[in-house]
Amino acid sequence: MNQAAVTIMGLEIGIEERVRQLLECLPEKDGALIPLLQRVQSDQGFISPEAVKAVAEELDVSESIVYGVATFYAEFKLVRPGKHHLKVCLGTSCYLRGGQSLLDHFSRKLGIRPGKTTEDGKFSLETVACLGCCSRSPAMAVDNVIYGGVSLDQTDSILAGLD
Amino acid sequence: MKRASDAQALQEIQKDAKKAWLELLQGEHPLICTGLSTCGISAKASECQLGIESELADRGIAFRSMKVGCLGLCYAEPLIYIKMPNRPLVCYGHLHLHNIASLVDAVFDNNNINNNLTLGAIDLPEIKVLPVPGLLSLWEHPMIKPQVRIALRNCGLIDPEDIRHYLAHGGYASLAKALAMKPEEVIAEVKISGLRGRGGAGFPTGTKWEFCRRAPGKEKYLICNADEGDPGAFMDRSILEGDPHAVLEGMLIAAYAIGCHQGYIYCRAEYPLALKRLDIALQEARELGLLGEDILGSGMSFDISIKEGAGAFVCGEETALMASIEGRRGMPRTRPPFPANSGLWGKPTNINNVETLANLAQIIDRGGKWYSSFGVGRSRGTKTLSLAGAVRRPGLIEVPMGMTLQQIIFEIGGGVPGDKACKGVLTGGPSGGCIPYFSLDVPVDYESLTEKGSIMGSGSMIIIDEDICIVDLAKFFLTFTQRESCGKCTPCRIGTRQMLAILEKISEGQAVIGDIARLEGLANAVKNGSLCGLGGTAPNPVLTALRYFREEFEEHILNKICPSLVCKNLVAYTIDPERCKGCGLCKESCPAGAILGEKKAVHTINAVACIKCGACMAVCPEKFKAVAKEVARCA
Amino acid sequence: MRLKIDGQEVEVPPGIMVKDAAKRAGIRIPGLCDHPELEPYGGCRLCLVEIDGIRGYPSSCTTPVSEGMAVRTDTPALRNLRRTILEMLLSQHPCICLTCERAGKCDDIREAMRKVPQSMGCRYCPKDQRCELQEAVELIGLTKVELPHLGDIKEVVRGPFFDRDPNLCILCGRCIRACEDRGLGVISFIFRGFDAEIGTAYEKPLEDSGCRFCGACVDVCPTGALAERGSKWAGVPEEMVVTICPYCSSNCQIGLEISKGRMIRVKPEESKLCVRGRFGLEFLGRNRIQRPLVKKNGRLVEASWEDALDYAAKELSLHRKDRFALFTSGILTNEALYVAKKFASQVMMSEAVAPDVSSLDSRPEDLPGPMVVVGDLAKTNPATELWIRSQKPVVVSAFGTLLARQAGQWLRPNPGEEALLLASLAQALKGRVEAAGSVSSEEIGRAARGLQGGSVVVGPDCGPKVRKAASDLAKSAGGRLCLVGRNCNSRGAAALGLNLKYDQALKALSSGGLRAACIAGCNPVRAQPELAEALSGLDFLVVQDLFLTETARLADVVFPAASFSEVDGTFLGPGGKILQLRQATPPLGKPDWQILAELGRRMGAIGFDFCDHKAVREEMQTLDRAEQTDLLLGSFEEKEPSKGSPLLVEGPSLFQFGSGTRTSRVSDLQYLTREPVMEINAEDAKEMGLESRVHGGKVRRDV
Repeated sequence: MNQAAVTIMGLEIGIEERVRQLLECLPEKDGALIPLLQRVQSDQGFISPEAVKAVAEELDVSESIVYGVATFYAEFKLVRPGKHHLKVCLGTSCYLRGGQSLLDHFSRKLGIRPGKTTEDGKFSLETVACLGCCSRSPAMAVDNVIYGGVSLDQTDSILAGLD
Repeated sequence: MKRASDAQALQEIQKDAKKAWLELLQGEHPLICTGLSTCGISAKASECQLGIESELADRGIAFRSMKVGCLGLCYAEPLIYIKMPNRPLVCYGHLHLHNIASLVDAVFDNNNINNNLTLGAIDLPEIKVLPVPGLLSLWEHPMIKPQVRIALRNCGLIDPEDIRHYLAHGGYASLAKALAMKPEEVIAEVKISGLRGRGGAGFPTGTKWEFCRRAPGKEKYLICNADEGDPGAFMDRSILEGDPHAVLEGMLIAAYAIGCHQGYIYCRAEYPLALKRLDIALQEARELGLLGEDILGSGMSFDISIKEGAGAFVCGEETALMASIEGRRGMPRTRPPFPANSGLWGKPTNINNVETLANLAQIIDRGGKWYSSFGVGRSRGTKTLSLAGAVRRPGLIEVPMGMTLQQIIFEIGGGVPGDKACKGVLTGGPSGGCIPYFSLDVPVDYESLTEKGSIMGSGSMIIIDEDICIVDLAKFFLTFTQRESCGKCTPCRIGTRQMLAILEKISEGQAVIGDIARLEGLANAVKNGSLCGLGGTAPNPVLTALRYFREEFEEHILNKICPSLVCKNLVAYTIDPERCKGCGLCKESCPAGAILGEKKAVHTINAVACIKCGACMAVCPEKFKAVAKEVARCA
Repeated sequence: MRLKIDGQEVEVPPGIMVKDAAKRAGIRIPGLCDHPELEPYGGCRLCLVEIDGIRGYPSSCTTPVSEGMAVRTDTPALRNLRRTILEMLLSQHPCICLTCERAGKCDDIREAMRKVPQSMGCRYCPKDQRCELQEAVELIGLTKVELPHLGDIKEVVRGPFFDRDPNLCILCGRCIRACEDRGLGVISFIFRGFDAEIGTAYEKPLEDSGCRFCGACVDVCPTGALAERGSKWAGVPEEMVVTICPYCSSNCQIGLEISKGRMIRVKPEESKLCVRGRFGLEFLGRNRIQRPLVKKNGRLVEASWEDALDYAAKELSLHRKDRFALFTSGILTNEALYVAKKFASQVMMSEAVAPDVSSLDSRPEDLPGPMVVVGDLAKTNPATELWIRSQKPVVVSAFGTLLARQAGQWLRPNPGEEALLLASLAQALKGRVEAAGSVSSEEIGRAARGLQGGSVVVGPDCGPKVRKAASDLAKSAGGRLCLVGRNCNSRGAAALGLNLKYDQALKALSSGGLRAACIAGCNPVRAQPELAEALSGLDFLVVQDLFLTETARLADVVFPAASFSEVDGTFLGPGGKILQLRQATPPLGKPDWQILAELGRRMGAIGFDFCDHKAVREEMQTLDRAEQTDLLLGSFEEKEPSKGSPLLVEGPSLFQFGSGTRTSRVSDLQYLTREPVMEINAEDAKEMGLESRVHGGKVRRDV
């Protein structure tokens, strides 16, 4: 339980309780599974096995169904991500204008494959299908701040700006 | 603001909004408008805005500021418009933290509003000032002049987070007008307009509504599909970020025509700003009583909730989208039953795309006949298109259907940058295909693009130049579609993967000539055998590539040559001993340790160790240009 | 509705799919994801057809027929399309046997090849010749697979009862739909696209994922991906015998697949089986006693039938009237129970008794109107519960049973207060709505509102107090009471009135009033170990059973009985319907009725010379059935829990039936019941000093 326990206003509460709170905050209970998983992820940073169990119990569906949904959508992370998320856009325009080189470059720099997290837990490198920023390719998002027209020589300063 | 309890009250509110809008434009202090869409923000528009504002604060100049959405001139972003008292509203582009001080100098100190950063004057009827000699209207700008902006009518001109701006531009008047009509009349008007689904499939909107209206059942749902999944399209994002109320008003009109009381906007989570602005817009509309019970005193009740997509391209497909809203895996199902009869939660459901909805207020306001006066053949009205790729002026445009690709790419887009030749244009994203340079006279309408083996899709246009390898491109699209396949049906799950395997072989120079026939066989089976549109259109990029650029495939297979020097296995990096000055930068940058050579001596690349990342070529100083990429002889 | 398929005029009922319509016209369309009992899916894409007026190639398993439709099922385009799609499937499925030049010549090495963990081809697959993929290959006429195999070889997942080989899975999703159909969703698609698989969360074992092992997934799997382990290599059965499941009173029809005189598999026959019926009949051939045993010098030794019968007859004749009782149960056939009753009354001048309580003329499926349900039917009577669940009844349960969680309304009394709640409901029907224990008056009012004319269903795990309260409630509602029986033939036992004197007989046994007893078809020592002493104290005990049970070990004579699959006979179904049991395998013992008849004959009684079970039936049909509902309530005493001390409620188990005499002989069922589970309220636990967050603590129960 330790890993999944979270602290809210000085109170240590378990993931089950937290999931219950998040569910209560949902405006709609119909089709709650995906919004609940989204809130759990933004609350916890990822979706842990304990969270899958708690969500299943709260919504009275099987864990397999929760897991099936969590593994279907690209948004859901099932392992703890790094402190900083680097998302390199591999939309068509970005791919054609150097997105792949940008990704390869970060991959080499950080020594991790896309989808992985550095050993020190500092950076996660991901690809994203499209940031909708095609007119400013190649684009990337760093902790949800979008950078357009990123060139290879900007990468160092981007990484350096993150502690 | 008070509530719009009926059409009369709405008119009062509109009048007030109009007044406020005029005050904003005609006020005595300068007005600074910043284009703050995702594209603008990614170009550091906020920083530029802050820079200008602090420059003004330093000078002690009082000003008002306002944010606007994307005007579509993304190539020139960040964009800031400045309105000096009694002067035109002028749009400045290509701003940078370095040049904002000089802009402020020019505009505020030297009264020079027409300078090197000026793109043009935003002429609005409510701005009545003397023309400035030499200052061109922005509407004469080559990127804007050929456009007809209906869905994008307010984008980049109003504050998307302030409903009064939308109201000042006649917002929600069409709703009031529709409510005074019979639902059947609204449907008839939309039918007359010839409006077809702008999400890609092009199904006539009015007919779709009619099916849902006629479906038995009291509870019906309306869904706005804002899951812009095509990687390379951003028109829905721009509309949601620039004019969310246009979409809400469209939804209200649709809901009234069909008889729905609950609507959903299914928007991808990758669009946080669009989500935020939608949320604000919904709140504003609720406060005004434009959503909720007894809307404008008509007795109609309707509300909208937002559902965030969770990253699945296939959820653009209607049945998958509904599964996702219901909280399930977004796996499409076969039809019948059609959503119009049995959709969300098994109830009759109508799904329209963002752009389709954004057109509706104008169709009701100005009439279906007016709308259908644009366009050609069975494709009426306008289409928003996102231009990206190898084009001088990437951005968002809206043109009448039937304009040729030639006009779009060269007149509006400004052609291909550098001295490169245009190779073609990708329309319809991963579901579309590549229309080659020799077919650019094709008009942009549903039928013509389909005839060419591509599709209109959501309207993304990615221009490619001669540096793009068609095999690599086909591989890229197939990598995408096979990764996004839900896995339900055999052809899409296994067929796309098998096709990808063949393309990989081709790009690696490992294929045999019979592989082309095998690829075509698989492509046809995936196209004809798949359950949903994702699989059904996934082979299009490959099929069009084979149709128009077959010799390039053959070149890869027979001669092991990638003419565009893209496919890694078929290229080699070399260092020209004549040009190399031994600076060592390449050696330093090589991640594979494949470069040999002492400082100040000529370097060489060990071809066996080289991983062909291109880092050496990127770092070799422009003045030396010693690293070259050439055709490799494949082992 | 008329349509044309391949030029042939076909008339079919509306609402069916084109594929079914074609089947009726004798036109076979291949297909792997559709199944008559499951929702249409349209995933495999082998059943594509051409239909005039419909664009492209719709899947015939998902397209409903319409008037005047013109369908083509066999065109060059379709053949080509199907071949390519099938080739895609086979590129992800071991298929070397398809093109092997030695095909059919590998019998010698087959046994050895089967030991390879992964099936490499059809001849080494447990589903060989029963596989629907093989059928499709034949129908489509595919002879080679040119596409390369992509992706990794995956590990075979072993679990109770069946194995899952993901390499053989074609992702048709039938198993998932079958599981959904049972309202469970234990398995799901996980991941997507080419990486999609079928599995559980984090690959957890099925037993930790809420699986009830009903085997529905195995039954619908078209390939060898899901294969029963017990009979993995038993191949194609020689025959199938349709009979009735010998466990609970749901009386599911089952098909016993027989090969070489052995039962190799059990298949549902128009029924939805549970784990017990599907996988729990393995006991049939295990550790059976096959010759009579007689106690000599304190040890049971084998004896001939003649000697054993003679000995038993002689000894029993010394203990007639109230010195004797015959204990039996509703697991035996009507014929056996009838002869038992006749033997006890006419030969022994005493009683034959059984604990079975059951309504006779109704089953839940036939009840009118809304329903109130008490008892954990999902564990005692799974097939009945499945139907009840679909009716969304009002459920009274102190615990979160499967039925309670999917109920129309769940009334949750404190444990032990079920009867109180039922009484409050009855009061509410009369207009006095009051709270009952933990259930508020609003909830009771809401439940009572729709209850007029409704029925009350009581599970076999409920005690007499609940039965009585339920009976009163049914009366107040003006509806019916349905007491669900525990055993396959509880109805038969109740119809013979065997439960009327059960308490009395049991009391006589415990108090030492009996001197001799016959026990047929039950194992009281396993169910109530405290009876062992009383039974050991008898002068003479005869036990007839399949196994040397805990009770049999105490007997003076043990007769090997024939199991349900070894006899012809009948159970009493609802409404007096007679359900036929059919002999499927050669008997290892004698039918229970025959043993008792032979004893009777030996003891000089007349009327015991039945030539076969039919003769018994004929005699029975001339007799009346007991019908009084009040009598059927039973009169078993219930211990009052002592005030203040915690109440231990024992619940039924899905994986153990009754005392567990039969189910404990099925290894995987035993595995699933290896650890009894106790639940305790978190607050109580805290009070008792047990940490509420600590799971897996051990509790000792003193009997």
